[in-house]
Order: sequence, then C-alpha cells, then structure tokens
Amino acid sequence: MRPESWLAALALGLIGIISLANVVVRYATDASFAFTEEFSVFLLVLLTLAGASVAIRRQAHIRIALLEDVLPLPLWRLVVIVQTLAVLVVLGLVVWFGGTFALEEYQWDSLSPGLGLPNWWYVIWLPILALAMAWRQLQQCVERLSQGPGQNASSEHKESDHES
Amino acid sequence: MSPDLWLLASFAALLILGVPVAFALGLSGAVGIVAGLPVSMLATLGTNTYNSIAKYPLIAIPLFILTGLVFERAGVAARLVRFAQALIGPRHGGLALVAVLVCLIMGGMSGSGPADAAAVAMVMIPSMTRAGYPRAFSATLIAASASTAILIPPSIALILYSIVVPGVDLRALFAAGLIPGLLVGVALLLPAWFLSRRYRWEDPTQVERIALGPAFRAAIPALLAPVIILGGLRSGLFTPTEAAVVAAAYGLCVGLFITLELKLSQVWELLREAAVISGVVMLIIALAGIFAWAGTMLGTFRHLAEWLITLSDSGTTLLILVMVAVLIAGMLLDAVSIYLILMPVLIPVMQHFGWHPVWFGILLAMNIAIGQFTPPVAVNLMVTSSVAGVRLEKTVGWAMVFVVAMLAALAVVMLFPELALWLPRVLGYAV
Repeated sequence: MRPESWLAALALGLIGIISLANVVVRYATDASFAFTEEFSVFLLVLLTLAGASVAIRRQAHIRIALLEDVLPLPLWRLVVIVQTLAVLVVLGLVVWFGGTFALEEYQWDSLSPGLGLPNWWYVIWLPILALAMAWRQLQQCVERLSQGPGQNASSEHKESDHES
Repeated sequence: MSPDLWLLASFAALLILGVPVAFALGLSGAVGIVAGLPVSMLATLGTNTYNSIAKYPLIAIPLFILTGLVFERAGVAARLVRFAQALIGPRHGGLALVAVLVCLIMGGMSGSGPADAAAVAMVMIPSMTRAGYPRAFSATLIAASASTAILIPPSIALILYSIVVPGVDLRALFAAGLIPGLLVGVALLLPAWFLSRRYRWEDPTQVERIALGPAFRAAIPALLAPVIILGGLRSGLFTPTEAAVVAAAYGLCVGLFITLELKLSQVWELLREAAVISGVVMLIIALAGIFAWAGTMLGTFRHLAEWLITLSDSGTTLLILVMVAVLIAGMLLDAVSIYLILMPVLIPVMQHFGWHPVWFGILLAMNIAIGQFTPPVAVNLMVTSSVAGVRLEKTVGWAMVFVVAMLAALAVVMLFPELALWLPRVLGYAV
C-alpha cells in the first residue's frame, strides 16, 4: 500500500502548494505563473492513478454490490473472480496501449506544449501505475476469497483502513 | 447484436456483476470498439484514459474534496450546531431545524454529501436521541439534508457538468444551485417540523438554552468559509480552482490554530484520505472517457437521443421521463458517473427541446441528490445510519417521507425555472 498512497498524498499536497502559490503570486506581483499549469495537470494524473490504486486495495471504488449479498458461496466466489478478470482486462489494455502511447511519444521526440519537456516523462506513469493497480486488484481478490463474503466495504469511501 | 447493444448491454451486465463503475465503463467501451470499430482503435485506452483526466479545470475536484475533509475534521460542525441551537432555541423540532441548517452551511464548504453527513451525524445524533427523536429519523433527516451538498456551491457534480456540457459557465451553475438548495432545505424541514410536533419530540422545557453571543463568536470561523468561497468567486477574486485551494488552506488554519482539533501530524493523513477519494472519482472520469468515445464513434448516443426524441412531442412529458430515469439511476450510481454516462445522450435532447442547460443541470443535481439517501445504494444514509447504529432497513419509511418532500421541491424548480436562473443572471454570469 505504501508507495501509491504516499505518491498520491504528495501529488495532492504539491497541487495545493502550487495553486496557493499561484494565487499569492498573482496578487502580490503582476507576474504570471502559468507554466505551473502543466505540472499541476501532470500531478493530477499521478494523484488519480495512485489514489485509485489505493482505493482498489481498500475496495473503495463505487460499485453495485447487491448481487453478491444474495449469492451462495460458490457463485459468490465465481462473481468475485469475474470482477477481478474484468478489472484486469481493462488495466491490461491500459498498460499495453498506455505503454505504446508513451513509446510513440519517445520515438517522435514530442515535447509538452507548455514547458517543452519530453512528453513521455509524463505519459510513462500511466502504464506504470496501471500495472500497480492490477497488482492491487490481485491482492484484493485473493484477500476477499480467503476471507469469504460478508465484509464488503462496497461503495463507502472511508473506514476500513487496512494497510498491507 | 448491434455494436450499440454490445456497448450498453455489457455495461449493464458488468454493473450488475458488481464490477466497479469505472472499470465497467472502460470495459464496455472496449467491447463496443471491438464489436463495431477497427480493433486498432482500442489504442484509445491509452490516449483517452490519459487525456480525460489531464485537464486543468478538473484540479478543482481533488481540492474541493480536500476542503470538505479538512472542514469535517476541523471540528466546525460542533460549533455550527451550537450556534444554530442558540439561534433557534428550545422548541419542538428545534434540533431537526438545526440539523438541516448546519447541513446546508456545511454544503457550502464541501462538494459532496457523505463527508457532510458524517460530520453532522456525529455531532447531532447523540443530542437528537437524548431529546427523544428516533435514531432512524435523525439519520434519515441528516442524510437527506446533506444531499444538498451537490446543489449548494461548491459542488463536484456541477464542476463535472460544466466540463461535460459545452458553453456552461461553472460560476453560473454554482449560483444557480443556491436557491434550489435552500428550497430543498425548506422542503425537508416542513415534514420534519410537522412530525416533531405530532410526536412531541424534544420537550422545550427540558432543553438548556444556549447563550447566543459566545456561540456566535465560536462559529464565526466556520461561517466565514462559505463566505470566502462564494464571495471570492462572485467578486472575481478567485477562479473555482483557486477558491478551492484557498478554502482548504483556510480550513487547515482554522483546524490547526482556532479550533485546535487538527494536529500538524494529521495533515498528511488528510492528504492521503482526500487523494484516495479523489482517485475514486477521477478514475471514473478517466475510464468514462473510453465509454463516451466508443458511444460517440459508434453513434450509440445519437441513436439513443433520436429514439428519446421520438417518444414524445411534448417537452414536458419527456422531461418527466428523463427525471424518472435519472431518479432510478441516482438510486444506484453516484452523481459523477450519472453525469458522465447520461449527458452525451441528453445534450441533443436538451438542445432539441430548448431546455436551458443551467436549469437542466440543476434539475439533474436535485434528482441525483434524492438518490443519495434512497436505498439500495444510499451513500449518505449508509454513513449516517452507521453513526446512529441503526440498520438501513429501519430508515426506509422515513426516507420515503423526505423523498416526497424533495420531489415536491424538484417539481417547483421544474415549473419555475427562474428559481435556478434568477440568481446567476442578477450576479451577471452568462446564462
């Protein structure tokens, strides 16, 4: 759990500091601080993917868990496995095509529109963190299967703060 | 099976199976692409996932989530409750009035219901129970009142609506939500007050009277938060993103130095918590991008919209149909997903009948708010009933009372669009 949770909090903290600095600088001086926009947007991507990864582990993603509550154990196991497969297919596609996207940006030497930095520096985080999400999904699935039904944290955002 | 059907049926099936909404959107998008488009177009799962979230206006979302959490932990709810109690005084239904009022003010600091619901329930339910209100009633009332957070600015759902629907000014939407939000507050209050009198909850002679002056002074820092957010936006001092970060910083200062309920060591924990909740919301936005792209490329949304328009020549009939559909969707899904899934279909319908986009967005938000405390999937009610220690089933009867009250408020805004559109126009936003 540590790395993504840490990364997500750091990204949000930096977004906050950059945005606040923006307000202060804009009112204290006439200087424009616009170049920070590119960093903030990148940090937002980082925050999203890392935060979503933690949420996978905690079963905090919003979903409709009504069916599970009424299924007998063998079917419940099957549904949990199907859910994991569905998530893994999406993440697999995101890793593959996100990786391709990053590779193309690298091969074409495309630069970011704002700061002129290599774009693949930003994009590469998509496949990396999607891979992390897939790992968390596997961990979560194994944990649920071994603990059995009944303790779904389903659509709740908070509580169950079990770190691994 | 047509590609349209593949897209929609696989989405429905994945949802029913309990796949998280975000992944159900991504996967059904992929299924739609495979069924009706060249397979190489799956590459959108790389580019679109990234580009859907790499947008500057979206930065306001995690910041407002952080603001909501900061205020929840900064102990402002307790101070607001004391102030509202002093203001209202002991009377039948007094605490119910306090609960609604505080939820409305908390809604002005955060952008989503569950955080408000938790903060207010934690403070109010013990004292409401002592005063004789049934726990299930208190839990439902607070859940319903906290659902106004998506109407009262700032609102994460409305931020998203302004991004999805072209040409809608977020500030106008924020202003438009205010009066309908207050109207919902009144609509909830009437049955709550009636029930309290009827069952003689809260005996006026047995409740202590609180001095107004000190209670007001203690509540000032909390009362200033909505003033900073709304005033800052109104005066053009801040953009929505800036208002969010200023409010979060202000909330941190209040918690660290004024109420002293936050410690510096907890700030990191708060950031982590806000980041995870943001991850949940933003991942839906990321993967809904694939669904929306597939639906647009396949023409599914256009077909659905055309079909909807043929259902009835009357705009009113169709509006009611849409409202019923959104109400049902709201019982199952969250506001962000509903806007992302439905708007591509509803935008052409909206344009066909000439519905005002700001007004329509507010109607949808009111409708989605109802779903936040209507079982089976009632995010707010889940939070408050767990605080109150009652089972969700016990709240259903009370929830129906408040659903009817909110539907009445919704009908009033449907009949009188000016309730939503007057304020933004007076404030000079483009509507």
